[in-house]
Amino acid sequence: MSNPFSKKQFLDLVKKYISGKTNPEEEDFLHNYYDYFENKTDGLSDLSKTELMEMKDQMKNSIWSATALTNPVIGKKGLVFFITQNIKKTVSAAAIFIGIITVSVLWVLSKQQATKSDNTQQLAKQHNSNIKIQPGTDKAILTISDGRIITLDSAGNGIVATQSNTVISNNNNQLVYCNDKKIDLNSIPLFNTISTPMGGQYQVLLSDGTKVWLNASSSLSFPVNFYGGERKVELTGEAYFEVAKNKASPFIVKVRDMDVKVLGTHFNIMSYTDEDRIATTLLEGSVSVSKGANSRMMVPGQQLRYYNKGVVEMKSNVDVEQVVAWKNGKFHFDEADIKTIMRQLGRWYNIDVVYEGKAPETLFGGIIGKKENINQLLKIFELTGRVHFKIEGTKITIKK
Amino acid sequence: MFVCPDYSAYSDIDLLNMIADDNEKAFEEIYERYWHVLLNNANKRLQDKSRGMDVIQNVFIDLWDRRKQVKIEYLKAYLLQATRFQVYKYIEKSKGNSQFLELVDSVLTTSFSADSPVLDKELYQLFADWIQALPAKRNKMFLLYLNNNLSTKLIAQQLEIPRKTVQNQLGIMLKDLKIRILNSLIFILLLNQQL
Repeated sequence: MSNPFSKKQFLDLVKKYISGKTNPEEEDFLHNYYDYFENKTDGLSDLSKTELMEMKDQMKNSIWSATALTNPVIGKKGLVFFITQNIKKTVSAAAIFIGIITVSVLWVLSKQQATKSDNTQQLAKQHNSNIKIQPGTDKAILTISDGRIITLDSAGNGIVATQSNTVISNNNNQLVYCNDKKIDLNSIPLFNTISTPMGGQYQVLLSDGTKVWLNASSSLSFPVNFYGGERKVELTGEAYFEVAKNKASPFIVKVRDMDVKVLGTHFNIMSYTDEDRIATTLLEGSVSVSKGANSRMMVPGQQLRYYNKGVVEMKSNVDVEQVVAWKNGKFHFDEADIKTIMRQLGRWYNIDVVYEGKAPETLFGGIIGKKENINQLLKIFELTGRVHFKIEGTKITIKK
Repeated sequence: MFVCPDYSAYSDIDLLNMIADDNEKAFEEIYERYWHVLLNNANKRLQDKSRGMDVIQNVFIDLWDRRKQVKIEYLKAYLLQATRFQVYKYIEKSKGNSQFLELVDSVLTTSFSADSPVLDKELYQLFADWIQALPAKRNKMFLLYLNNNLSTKLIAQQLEIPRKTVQNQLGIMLKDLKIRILNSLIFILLLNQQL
């Protein structure tokens, strides 16, 4: 048989292939033809490592300029990284650490001792039939500056999105921002917002290393990357902050018209609008709180209260464990009236609270786990004999 | 204490999701992971360093350009396919002026005369199977053409159909047969290569 297949025919076939018009057999042929060369040498193995790396960088440059991407730092990798690291080292060396000892307060149940009785069991049985009210869980909603809305919970692990080369991932019950330390300082900061519903809580690790615990029915707006200068975030509701130390770049939490300015420290801010105050509690380090022209420095163990009525009060030696009990999975009440208690429970169990007549004036104290069934929890209060509850669906009525 | 993972710790799927969000760092990681294996793959065919580099650049530029549309399940397989496509694109553009076409000249055109009983048997079997699989009318047409060496005019008269139809159908059949034969030839060559 004479030449059954010429170069020209082959090239025609290739042309067909490029324009996507080949049939499966023709495609198979070209794929097989290609595979035939798999065992050939590639002519690269006799190149030196330097030559190979030069080829790699040359290709990279062409790709990056063709795609109009930011030029990769070829051969000088990590330059920017080192500079920022040096700054960080200096900062942490100069930073002051103040540790404080916290004392846990033992559980005191009202003024009366409860005694077990048949009454209790009956009460428990009656309340157990109600399963509509569940304790809160780790959940939140993330709003990204490009408009995307992402539901977060402990089940949806993995990478959520990336913005400005910062990878946002969901890591159990924590949202994590990781940047590549090669951020463009001239970029416009992008803001994300994480919000917890009633009955939700979440943690965020910001790209500067600051860790934030967000309580129920709260929200935090923050930049994806911090570009030097001030690190500004905005809070509603309640959060506990462990701010990563950076003396060159103060961290500011804006709460309504109040600013809490810190360089690296641990503190809690409670600013629920249904409470009568904004309370800032310092556990470690130092912060300065300013509201209008007023500015105050705080030391560990202090709590600064701005009452909605306009009164300011600085309390020293507060029980900080009690203040941050919520982030450690507990309710911790200390001489709290029933209304204060029910507001906290309401946010976590997502319940409606109604008072029948005047609310009891008894003050309660104690520690209860946040995973507790609502019926068990209310039962403990009822045992004091000073308060009674009626549960209908998600509505709880309080009687003397 | 949580430590942010290095990009090399992310999976291909993660990186693909990230480049869809315009993450340049993720794109750089993909380049770091695959430039060598792809350059290697292209160079086996092109045997020319600078042409190989051109091809690989196009593979990556194309990936970035289509990062938002393309659905990729296996990145490595995708990139290898893209490399193959870009190699063929290059072959087409350079009008066959490449070592890659040597095989067409040296092997495919001469293999038919090669004294290989295995090859003969394989090809005969393929041919027989192919004829058998033809629909009755086409089968008859092809046998008239092959065994009786009739012209298309005579075949048309015998089958009582227009001559144009015979010409068209025979053309299609021969083309199909050719590609099948080539395919199995390549296949046999591949097998022999591995022995």
